[in-house]
Amino acid sequence: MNEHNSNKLDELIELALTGNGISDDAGLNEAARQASAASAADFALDVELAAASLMVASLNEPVSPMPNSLRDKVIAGSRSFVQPADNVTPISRATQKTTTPPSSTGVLGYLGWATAAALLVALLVRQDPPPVDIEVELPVVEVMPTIDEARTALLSDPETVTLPWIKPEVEGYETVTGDVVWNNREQRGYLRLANLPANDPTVSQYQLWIVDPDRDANPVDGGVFNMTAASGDVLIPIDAKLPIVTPKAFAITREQPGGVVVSEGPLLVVAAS
Amino acid sequence: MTLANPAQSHYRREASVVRLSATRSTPAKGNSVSSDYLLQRVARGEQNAMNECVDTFGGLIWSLARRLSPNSADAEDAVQEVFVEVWRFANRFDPQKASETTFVAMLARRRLIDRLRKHGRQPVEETIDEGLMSAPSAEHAAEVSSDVTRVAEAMQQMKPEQQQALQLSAWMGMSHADIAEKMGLPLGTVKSHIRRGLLTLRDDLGLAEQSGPNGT
Repeated sequence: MNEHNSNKLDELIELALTGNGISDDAGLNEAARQASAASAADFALDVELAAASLMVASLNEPVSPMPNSLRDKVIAGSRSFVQPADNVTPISRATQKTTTPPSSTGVLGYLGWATAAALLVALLVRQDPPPVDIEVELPVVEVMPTIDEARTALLSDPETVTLPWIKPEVEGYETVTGDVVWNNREQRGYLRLANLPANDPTVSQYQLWIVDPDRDANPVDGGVFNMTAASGDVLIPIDAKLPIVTPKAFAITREQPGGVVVSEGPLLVVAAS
Repeated sequence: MTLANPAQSHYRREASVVRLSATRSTPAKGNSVSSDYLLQRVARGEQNAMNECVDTFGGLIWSLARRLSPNSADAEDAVQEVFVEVWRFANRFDPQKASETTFVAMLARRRLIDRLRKHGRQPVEETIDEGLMSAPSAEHAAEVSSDVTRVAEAMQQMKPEQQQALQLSAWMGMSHADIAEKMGLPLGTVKSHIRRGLLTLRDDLGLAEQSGPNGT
């Protein structure tokens, strides 16, 4: 590569890595071709990918999980990019065979999208035909249960355990009541809390810890959460970061926003088996 | 009671291994598509793929954003912007060109450097001085993806001066002149370090022979 092309390649690299646009410059394209790229734009992409790999390699530390609150925001923001599915989420389709006598309009009671099938029934009624069999394909619509419903459903599972909070002794938390519901097979559960003081999420967040001696001598992060000044019971889903083997206790601490890896406590509220 | 928690540290390490190297999603049983990448599913607008993408790459993007942001609030804004870029450009991902991790990191880099420029911020001195100047660890990189490993190994063969010039360029998007001034080196030396270094990395990543009509 001659000096001119080297200079052009330097220019192209600088444009690519400083975030400035690549101009449609014959000299840049020629330099890129000399460097075995189809065009300046392709070479710029190569350079950006190499720089990105370098950044990741240079992190030199395990990545930190982002805060749950941020995760929720990102996922909420993703929804406008989801391809629409008519506002329902058919998770599977079932074929229901419906026997429709001439006098029946029962099929009209089904979902709106089956209107065409219903009109067919109406037409058949007017012509007074014999009973007909109509196969109507119905979507199975996933209806997300409320957290209360999900907790109640979990409680109906005989494998679910319920651990009440031990009467707290830490000042300000003495009146906290409620329980922990956990199902080890499903690896999910809920906290029910009343009278837990509200926190300012910009200052601190509550963090749940799951004591699981069969897994490790140290507790597992059960996720961070916030408490508003709500009255009555508040339900919080447990967000265990590792598979739980034998949960012996659940404890809540108050930590910096986003939670911590190593907590100094104190344990504000505890439930134990 | 002290909740010193190696299990948590283990989790973080596990996360970097599992989440960053599991770049190919498992197709659903009976699905005729046998090589769906997560980003390809994201490009099709599948919500569950987007959720998986957040869980897979969220930690990486968060870590990068924190390095290049003045505070947590700014880093959170940056992460959200990066993911918008991921949703927008997932259809440009080419598995023949780079791993999903590298592709996502590239989108993150673009956005983060763009934010540095828009906000008129100078590179954070502490960020430059703490950590970035050390040679990439092949052990760490091996947990992320094979192409990152190759980059780490290639970097370790370079002189510290060349590594530093490359890191300032990659992390901060600094101009050659600014790097020369910061490092106290002649401009030509900096240009040469960066050009040769990037060409080496590009060769090690196998990008040169794959250049073709694509890109974001």
